[in-house]
Amino acid sequence: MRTWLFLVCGLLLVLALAACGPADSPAAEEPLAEDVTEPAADLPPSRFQQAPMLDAAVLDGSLPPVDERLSQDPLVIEPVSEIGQYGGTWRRLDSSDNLGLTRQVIFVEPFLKWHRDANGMRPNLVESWSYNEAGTELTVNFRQGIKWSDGDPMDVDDYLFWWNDLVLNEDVPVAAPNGTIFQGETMQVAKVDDFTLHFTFPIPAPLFMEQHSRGHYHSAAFVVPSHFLKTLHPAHSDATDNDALLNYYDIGSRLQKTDMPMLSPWVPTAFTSGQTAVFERNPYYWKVDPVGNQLPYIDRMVVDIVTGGSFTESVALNTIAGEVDMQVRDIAPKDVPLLLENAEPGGYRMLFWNRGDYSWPWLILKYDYNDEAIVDLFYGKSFRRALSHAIDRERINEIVSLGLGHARSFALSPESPEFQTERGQQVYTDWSTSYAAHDPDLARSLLDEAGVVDQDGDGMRDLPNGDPLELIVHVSVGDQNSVDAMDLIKEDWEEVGISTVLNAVEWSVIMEDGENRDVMIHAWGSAAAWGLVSAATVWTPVESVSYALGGIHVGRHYQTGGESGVAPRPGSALEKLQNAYTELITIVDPVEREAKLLDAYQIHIDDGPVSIGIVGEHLSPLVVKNNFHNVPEEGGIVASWDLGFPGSTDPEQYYMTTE
Amino acid sequence: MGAYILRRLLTLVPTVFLITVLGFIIMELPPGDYVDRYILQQQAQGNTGIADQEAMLRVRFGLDKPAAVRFTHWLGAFARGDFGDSLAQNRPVRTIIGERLLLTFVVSFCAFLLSWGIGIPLGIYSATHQYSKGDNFLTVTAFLGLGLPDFLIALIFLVLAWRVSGDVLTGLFSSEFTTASWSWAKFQDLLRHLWIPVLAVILTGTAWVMRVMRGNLLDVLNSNYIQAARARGVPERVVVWKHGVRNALHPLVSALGQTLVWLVNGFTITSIVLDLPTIQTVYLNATLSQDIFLGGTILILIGLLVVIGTFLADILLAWLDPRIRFS
Repeated sequence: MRTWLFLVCGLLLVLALAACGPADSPAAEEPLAEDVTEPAADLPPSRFQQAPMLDAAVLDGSLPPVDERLSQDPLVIEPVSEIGQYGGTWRRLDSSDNLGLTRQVIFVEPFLKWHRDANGMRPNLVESWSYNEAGTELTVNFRQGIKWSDGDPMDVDDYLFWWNDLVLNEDVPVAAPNGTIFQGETMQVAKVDDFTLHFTFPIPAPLFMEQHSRGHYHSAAFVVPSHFLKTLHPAHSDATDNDALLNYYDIGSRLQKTDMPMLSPWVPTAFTSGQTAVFERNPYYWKVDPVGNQLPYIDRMVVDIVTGGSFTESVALNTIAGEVDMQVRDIAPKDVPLLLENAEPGGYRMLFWNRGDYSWPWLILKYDYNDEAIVDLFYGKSFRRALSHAIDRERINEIVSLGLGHARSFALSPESPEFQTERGQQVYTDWSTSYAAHDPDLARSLLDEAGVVDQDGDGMRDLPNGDPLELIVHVSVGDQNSVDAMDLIKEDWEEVGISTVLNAVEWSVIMEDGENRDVMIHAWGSAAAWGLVSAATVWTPVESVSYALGGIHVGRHYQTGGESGVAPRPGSALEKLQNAYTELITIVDPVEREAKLLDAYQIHIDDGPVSIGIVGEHLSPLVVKNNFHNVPEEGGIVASWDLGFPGSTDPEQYYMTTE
Repeated sequence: MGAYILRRLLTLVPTVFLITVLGFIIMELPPGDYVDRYILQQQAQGNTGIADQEAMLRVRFGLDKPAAVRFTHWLGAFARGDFGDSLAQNRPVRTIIGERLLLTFVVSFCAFLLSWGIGIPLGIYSATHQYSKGDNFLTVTAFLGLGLPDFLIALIFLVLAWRVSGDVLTGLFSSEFTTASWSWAKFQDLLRHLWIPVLAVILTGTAWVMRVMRGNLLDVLNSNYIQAARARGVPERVVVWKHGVRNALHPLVSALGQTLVWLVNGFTITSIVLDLPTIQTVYLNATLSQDIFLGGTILILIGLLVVIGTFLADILLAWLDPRIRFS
């Protein structure tokens, strides 16, 4: 898989260079006279070009010339549609002072970056890597010549500082993230030279690079400006506590700091809590376009911070007023008609990326519920199948999702890499359509089969032991989409004789009840999950989190090696899935791993549905001003931050024209 | 009078202490803590690795210690003027409140002065011209003002302003001015935004002040000593202003006690729908995210203002009404 990735990337690069012609190639020796952006008259000729806004600083000597700021061999980013032009201010909104949405735009600079269609990863901070045969040792080569936004060179010490001085230092409360501890033992990291690291794992860790590159909060946050943070670290400076260090390290506040060096295309220049954050181009940004223009194209980003729960409304209002240039998240499906109506006067267009959800809502049956009579039903296939067949998914799609989703069973996203082969396609189709047909009669006969019949003559079915049956579904009050869908599901279930109660409560109550094994079914607005790399626990219960398949305690049982939690019943689908996962994560050969992964999914088809999907793959609207270019028309998958969107579409190559 | 004030001052001390205890308990009441919220929020957004950090986060924010220990630490620091750091914003609570207090006061003072400045004269007019055309008109308007919530009026203004000018006037400044230092242009920008919340709030505020003033003045004007004054041949102007209005002000003066709090924490929903950079929006967010130090400090600030406001109102009333100070 790695070699394959490499080949594709290499091929893309060669194609990109070839398409631009030899005269425009950044490898050309002579200075390029006729370029997209003419350098200012009195700047010395250079191999690379920079944005005009930096010219003055170079002329007065406060900034070195562009050729000295870039390495000899910078990372070339192929634009989505065409070479852009410099300039412009990008106006967006964010929903909190932590600037999470903004981090997903500018802070996604991990070891490897997802491809723009999320199908695999490409080199970013890391240029190449190789494993030993057993998959237990890994050599990672960092890209050379990258500089922090203050001009200081980046090298492996910036990663080692995080690992040795923050994670391993007992006095600093920074935990080892998941993917660095294997069966209780931490990985070993050794420095080979300034740009090479050697990792040793206690067991094969073939997915380390991918897992370490998710979102903006793994390696993107772990490679830190050590020269800067050392001045705040008690062990390296006269600081007496960790407060300042953690304040700068914490990704929730990093974009509030205007003095911390970064590797991102834009760096913070001003921040006012609850109001505005301003970012300007990083003069040392280490990527160029195919003709040698230093990226990013856009000069500046102004982020309006809207707190207090009126965020989606503010996005809609500012959009139709034409005051948003490009916004990816938090456009409510219900606002789509309004936004489309005002697109022309507002001067923008709407694109639809994929939310990537496997189901919204996703009905997680909790096999760790504290009433064995209910759990008995969940472990029986007929009852689960009856619940699934009773639901009219098309109706929910039309009424709740405005037809913007797909009626389907619980199955991972069709874009996941393992589904791209012929067999993968087959497994995907089988899985996503399994038990999804609306068939109340079949549901009734399945319930009869499960012994769930009306025993007391009140018209509603009872438990096999004669007690009344009542399904209680926890749903978060804040998730209107799930609440609306559950109203219809309740109708469908009562239609076949199962009385249903909706328990719409605060998130914290669902958490608390889940801990106490008081949740029977949880209707959750799912994110995207990606095979083994991102949130595997949604298809196999291996982590003690609220969205673990089968329940928190089933996941905990696996995570603690059986020390606590609730064991899945022997021979059940849950147990088979856990065993499959244990085997999968250490398989070094990517082809074998992919085949075994599809085998594991087959358990969901044969013994399923283990949990119940309703409507998934919702479209995720985004607004783009007509003068804002190089945004992919489709392909972005935005629900899971792990996939790094919109950062994974390389916002540094977006550009703006004057209208 | 002096003894009266002293007595009232002495009762303040235990009240204030009780408020701090209650404030802390209220912030602790919801299940879970800030770390739980933070992890949930991160998971809902797709950050799947965050759960591993739970214990570390709790140590980092000092939430691993028992509530009583945290309370004593916090109260000790509170007394020294150190309100702790906001968990969500990683900044001192003092800074956060400080930077918002001024703008909160700007909005609320404008609204307060205008609604009282307009409401009292209109109330007097209504009372002295009972059932006239003018009174009927004002009554209908006042019921509209009382019936429509101010946030709804604000939203209507917001949409109207957008239709007319094409600008979205949320917040108090356009984004180019938020970080700029004060200038004439920034002041103008403030005025451009300020009218929406102020006008929305004074529509409701004026209506209330006017109705209270009208009702009281009518009561007073029907009382015997007013009849007696009129019978003595005192001019109507003097009857109304000297004997009527002065005695009709009591309920409004007692209401002043709550006004102090209202200045800091009134019109919350309007603040939120208009996304104003005021204390109210911070308070709501702090409560939702269980940012205990920030939320707790504001809660206590509100409690203190209630106590101080009531204290001041009592003194004012005592000054206005001799029956109180001698009882």
